[in-house]
Amino acid sequence: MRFLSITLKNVRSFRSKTIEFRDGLNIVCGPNESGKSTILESILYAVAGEIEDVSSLRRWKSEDTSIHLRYKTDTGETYTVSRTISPEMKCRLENFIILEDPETILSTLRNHFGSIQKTVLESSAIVRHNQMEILRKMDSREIVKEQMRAALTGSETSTDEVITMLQVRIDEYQESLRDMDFKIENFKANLIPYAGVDEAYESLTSKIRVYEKDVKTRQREREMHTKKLLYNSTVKDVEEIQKRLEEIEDIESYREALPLEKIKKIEELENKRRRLEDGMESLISLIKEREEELVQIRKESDEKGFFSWFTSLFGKSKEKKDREKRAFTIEEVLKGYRRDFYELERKIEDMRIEKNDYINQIPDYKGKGVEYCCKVDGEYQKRIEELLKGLTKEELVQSLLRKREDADRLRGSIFTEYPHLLDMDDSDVTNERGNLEEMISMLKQEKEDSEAKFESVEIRKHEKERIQRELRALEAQNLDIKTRNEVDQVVLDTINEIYSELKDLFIPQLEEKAGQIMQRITKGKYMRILIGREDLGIRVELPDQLIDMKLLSQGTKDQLYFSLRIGLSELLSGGRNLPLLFDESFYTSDENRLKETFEVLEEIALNTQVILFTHNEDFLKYGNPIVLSEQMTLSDSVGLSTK
Amino acid sequence: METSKGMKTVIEAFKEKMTDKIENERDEKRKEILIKALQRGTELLEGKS
Repeated sequence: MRFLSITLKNVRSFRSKTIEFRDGLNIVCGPNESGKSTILESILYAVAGEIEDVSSLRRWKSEDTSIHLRYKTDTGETYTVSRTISPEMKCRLENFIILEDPETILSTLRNHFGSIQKTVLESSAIVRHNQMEILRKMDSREIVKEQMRAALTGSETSTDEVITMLQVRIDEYQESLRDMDFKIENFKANLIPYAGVDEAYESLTSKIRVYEKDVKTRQREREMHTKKLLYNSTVKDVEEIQKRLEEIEDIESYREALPLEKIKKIEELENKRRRLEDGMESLISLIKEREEELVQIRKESDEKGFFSWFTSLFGKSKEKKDREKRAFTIEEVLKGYRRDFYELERKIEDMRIEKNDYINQIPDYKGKGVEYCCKVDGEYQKRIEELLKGLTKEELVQSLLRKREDADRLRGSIFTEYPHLLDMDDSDVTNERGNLEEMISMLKQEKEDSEAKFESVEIRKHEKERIQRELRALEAQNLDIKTRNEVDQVVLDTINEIYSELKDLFIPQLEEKAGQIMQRITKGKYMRILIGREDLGIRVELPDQLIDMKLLSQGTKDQLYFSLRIGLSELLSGGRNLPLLFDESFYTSDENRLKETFEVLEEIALNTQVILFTHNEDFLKYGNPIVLSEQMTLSDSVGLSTK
Repeated sequence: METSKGMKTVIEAFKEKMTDKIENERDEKRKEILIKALQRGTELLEGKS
């Protein structure tokens, strides 16, 4: 596997940049901020497709950002993986065909690179900054652990740290569980004095409910008894009012029947008759007087004899004429008087007949006058007023109707619930009501007694419930911790199992791969690398001895380190010979060490592509130089020939 | 543990092993524990917890 070129378009400081790589050792040199890290990040992003902040790769204000990595596989095929960041995230893999399906691209890249997880690549194919110096200071165990750490775990996390953390957590859980068991036992013990509280509570609640119901029932019964008494009283009122009204009606009919008018008429006729009779007497007197007067006049006429005969020969005398005239007048008057008299007589007779008619019509009142009738009428009126008692008759009728309605309503109500009451008389009803009063009073007292007991039981019940709630919370917490404990135990056991298997598999393979590389780059001086299974200590094998790593020279240690790193890279990539990328890895090394290091790198570069990013122009002589400059932003930079 | 795609990492192997255990588990309660363990272990190994 080797990288052929990388093209950056609008990636950070690069508007358009292509870097071409060659086999062997490539030295990418440029000052700070020239884009070395950008190229490395872009290579990593092109392969792994992941980066902490992908937007950080975009050139400021650009709308079109993309990375194109061209590489050749171990089988000789050339591919270009293109990742577009803006305007939208896209990926494409090109060979003779173009792949755009993400799953297919992922699968193909895995086929080419092995593990394409960023952390795995970083722990194997990439050597950062001063990792070399740090690793040089580590002892062998730490180197192996460090190699295994991110690579084996597959993340930044150390598996050993995870195992340690889980163990600590499990121990904490165990302690918490012990503590909690103790607390739970205490709570359970605290509940013992409250045994029976629930039953007492239920019993008292039920009792009080029964008392309440009984009291209500008895009160209702008492109410009905009261209603019955009221009903009886109302019925009596109705009867009384009815009686009064009947009497009033009777009296009114009697009043109507009073023949006052007839009696008045009789009296009137009587008075008229008397007046007429008085008149008649006067008339009789007058008639008598006139008759006497006439007689007198006639007598005077007769006494005058011869003289009057003599004078009559000479005609009537004035005196006679006057007498005759007077006599005539008196006769006329008498006629009138007699006529009047007859008239009066007739009238009196008519009146007498009429009066007798009236009297015959009212025989019971014969001899009774108007005064009598008025007196009787007055008595009737008085009686009516007594019966009305200040009301009008209409009001009394309305009162009767209301009383009847009340009685009907009361009756209906009593009949619905306690029909037997209707047949009971007042004294029995009153007696029963008295008994009910006593019963109600007794029930209320018993209810109060129960309520007093209930109060204290309720308090105890609430206390018990509080303890139970706390206990349940504790038990829930206990269960939660137990579950967590169980989960963590499963995780720990599984990780231990896997880790142990991995180590058992990994260490021998790493020994083999790294040993082969070590043998190659030391030209056979060191045959094998041995890693202790328990202590992870590294030893190298000379033909006749084993030497502990700490006894090796720094140069040999560098060789050993590179061997381990490349071996790890091959192991994790499934035997693929991935390029090694060094990012400012040797800037603290002095000249002698650098010389040794580059000798090793050159040796490695015979079989593995190495790309070294540095600011140190002195390194250019060691490999294929690729120079970056701040001025070189538009044109491609073509690598010079390797030495 | 080793495949043509390279040596498996602890995370990958853990997920595989736990998934196998879950599929083969008959007891429902135990199965729930295993599912939680898968989630927990993955989070721990990925450094998310």
